Amino acid sequence: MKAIEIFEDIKQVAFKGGAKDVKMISTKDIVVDKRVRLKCMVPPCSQSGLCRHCPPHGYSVDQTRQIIEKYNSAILFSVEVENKIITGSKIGQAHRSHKLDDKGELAVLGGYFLLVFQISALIKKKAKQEGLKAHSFAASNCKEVVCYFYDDCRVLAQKKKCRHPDLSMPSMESAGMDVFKMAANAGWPIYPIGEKSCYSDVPNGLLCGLVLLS
Amino acid sequence: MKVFPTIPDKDIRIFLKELCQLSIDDGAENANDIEVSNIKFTGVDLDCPDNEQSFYYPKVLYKKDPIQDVLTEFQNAIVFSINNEHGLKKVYEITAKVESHCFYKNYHLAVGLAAGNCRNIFCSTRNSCQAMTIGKGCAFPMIARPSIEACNIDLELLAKESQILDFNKDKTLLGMVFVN
Repeated sequence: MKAIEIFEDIKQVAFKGGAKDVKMISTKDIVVDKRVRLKCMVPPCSQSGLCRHCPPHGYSVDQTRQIIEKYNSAILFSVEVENKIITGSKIGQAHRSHKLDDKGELAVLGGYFLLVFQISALIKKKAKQEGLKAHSFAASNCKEVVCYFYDDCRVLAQKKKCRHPDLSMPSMESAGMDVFKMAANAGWPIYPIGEKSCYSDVPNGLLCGLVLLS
Repeated sequence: MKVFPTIPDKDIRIFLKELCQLSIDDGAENANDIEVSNIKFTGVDLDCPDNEQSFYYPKVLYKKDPIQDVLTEFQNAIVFSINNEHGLKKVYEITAKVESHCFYKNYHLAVGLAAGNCRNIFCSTRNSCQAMTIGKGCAFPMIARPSIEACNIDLELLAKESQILDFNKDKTLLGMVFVN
């Protein structure tokens, strides 16, 4: 099968999995910035330090660059989140307290993040079936998405094997990739969304994942 | 609210002035912008008893990407001063407000530094800094942050370079936000 056909098949895996858009990019177009990983730590994100991939753990920015150098291209995909869901008024507090809110806002949003992990894992699986090397990245923290109902990341806290090795992966941002810039470069509208955001200000939320291929 | 990318660089001077005014409106006595290339990193370590240390103090325990190296990637920052009668917590509050404003204006990588040891301010009743436990995160996410001095930035030189002329190390507290 020709490379173009393989990549087209892989793109279809992402679309069928629920991606809003999928782009094939050169690894030269991956934007890595030391400040992105710092942003996970200062001020500390409520998820930093909770899984083996998020700062202060995970790849350093230099390690990320070294990994990217080993690949030629990448699949970048987006998952759109409805504005009323991503700007839910109870999400911030629920994040910080690590307790689900009574309106279910965090659980619903968590479903979108889980989708990013699943699509990345499916792309990686398909790429390997086609004889390619693949390295996947998702969005957010795998402990808080995949292992939310456990007290801790088993790898970190108990030095045991990961509960979900097929789904556990670093987020793009935890590896130092500037998702805002990469999404903008892909032509996707992306907005800074935080607790002060009102749904009427934000047309939609956007989550991104990436799979390196060679 | 604007779609990414950020506002054009030609507008950064205006934006920095806006940030200085924001910090003054929130209680700072003085605020000015500074080019990051003019900031002096001393390399002098701070002293702190073992039982008072935190993830951010006396040095930032972020070994994979040393914070001093990352901060030099920025071009512009703002520095503000308050009288220490207002207390250390006020520095954290102003820093958080300015940094948050940057984020919503599409300066998504903006990072703020405060003063003193965050553990003494937010976690003085706890036995330890939670962020120093493997697998746990900070007990005060989004507000705790390193101090300027824990990042090896000389306070007196910083005040001088940022034209904060009334700086007195015994009476003045400094905060800063790296913007772009």
